[in-house]
Amino acid sequence: MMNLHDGLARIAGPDAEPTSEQVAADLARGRSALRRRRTAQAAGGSVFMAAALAAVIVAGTGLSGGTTAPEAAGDRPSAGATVAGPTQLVAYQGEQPKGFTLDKVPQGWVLQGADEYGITIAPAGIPDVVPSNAPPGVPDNDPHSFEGKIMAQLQEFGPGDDLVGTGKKVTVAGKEAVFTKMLDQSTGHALFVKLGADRWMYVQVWDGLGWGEKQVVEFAGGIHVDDSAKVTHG
Amino acid sequence: MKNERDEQFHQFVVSRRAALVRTATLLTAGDAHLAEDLVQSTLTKLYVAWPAFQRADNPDGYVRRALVNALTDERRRWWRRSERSMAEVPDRVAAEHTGGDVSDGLRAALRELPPRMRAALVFRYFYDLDVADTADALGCSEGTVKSQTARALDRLRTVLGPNPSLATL
Repeated sequence: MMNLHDGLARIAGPDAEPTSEQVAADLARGRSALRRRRTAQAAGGSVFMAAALAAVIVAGTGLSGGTTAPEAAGDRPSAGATVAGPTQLVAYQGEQPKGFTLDKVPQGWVLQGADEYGITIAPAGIPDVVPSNAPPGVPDNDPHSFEGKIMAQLQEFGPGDDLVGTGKKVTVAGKEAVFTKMLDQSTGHALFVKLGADRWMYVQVWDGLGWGEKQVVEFAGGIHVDDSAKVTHG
Repeated sequence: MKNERDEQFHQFVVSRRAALVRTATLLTAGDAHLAEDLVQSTLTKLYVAWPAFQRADNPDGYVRRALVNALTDERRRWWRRSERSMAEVPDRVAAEHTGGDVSDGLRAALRELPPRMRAALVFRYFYDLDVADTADALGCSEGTVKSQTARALDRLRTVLGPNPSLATL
C-alpha cells in the first residue's frame, strides 16, 4: 500500500539543483519586472508610456554607468528625505553625454548614466551597496533604476489622454509641454516636451527635490536633444 | 552591476529553487511546465518585493503565500485556456491501482482537487505544517484549513480506496 507522504514525494520529483542559467534568468526576470514597475509608476499609469519606457530598458542595454563627472560642489541632498526648500540648479560642468546636452543639474547631483536614448541624474556619493531594506525612493547605483533620481529620455509618445486632461500645459524653452505629477509620488513630477512629430522628451523628477513647476521647467529647458539621440518606441 | 538585492536574491535562488520547484510540482498535481511557470512567477514577485520579504517575520510563510497566490493566478489562466471550471469536487468511484505506478493514481486524485484544497493537503501532510501555518499560507481561517483538508482526504480515500496511510490521518 502506498504511503501518502511517499507518494507525494514521488510526485514532487528529485531535488535538482538549479543551473547557473536558470538562476541568471530568474534574476533577469526579477530585475526586468522591477524596472517595469518603476517605470510604469513613473509613467503615470499610461499603458503606452509603460510600453515605451519598458522599451528603453530593452534597447538601452548599453546604458553606461559610471559616467559621473564632477560638478558644482555642495552637500548631497537625500532623495528620500524631505528637504527644506527646492534644491538649487547649478551649471553642469561634467562631460556631456552623447545625444543630450545638459546646462544645469541640481546642486550635489551628477550624471549617473547615459546612452543615446536617455540620461539618468542622481545624487552624488551613492554608496556601492544600497541596503536591500532601504525605504522606497532611496537611489541606487543602477542607472536603469530611476527611484530617487531624475531621468530624461527621447520617446515616441507624448502624454496619454488622461494626462493631457489633468496635466498643465506649459512652455519649455519655447516648446509646448505638459507638466504633471508622477503617479504614486507626493512631490515628484513628470514633464512631456514636444520636440517634433512622434518625438517627445520625457523628464521625470522623483520625490525629494522640493521642486515645483518652475524648477522642473527650468531644468528641462537646459536639456538639449540632438539628432544623435534615439527615440524609444512602445 | 549587482547590488545587495541582487546578491541576496541570487543566493536565495541557488539555495531554495529546487525546493520551490518540488512544492510547485505538488501544488500543480505534477504538471512540470505549470510548476516551472509558478516558480518563475513567484521568484519574480519576490525580487520586486525583496525589501518586504527581507523584513518579513516569517520568510518561509511569505514564500508559501507567494506560491499559493501565483498558483491561483496560474490556475485561473489554465482554466480559461481549457474552458474548464471546478467549482465542486467531482464524484468519482474508487480507482483500481493494483498495477502500475501507485503515484499515478495519487497524481490523478490530486488533479481533481481544487488548487487551494490541494495546497492545504500538501502543506499539512507533506510539509507537516500545523493548521495555523497552513492557514497563513492559504490566507484563510484555521477552520477552513480543517474543512479543506478533511474534504481532500475524503476525496483521496474515494479515489484511491482503502489505504492505511490515509486511515490514520
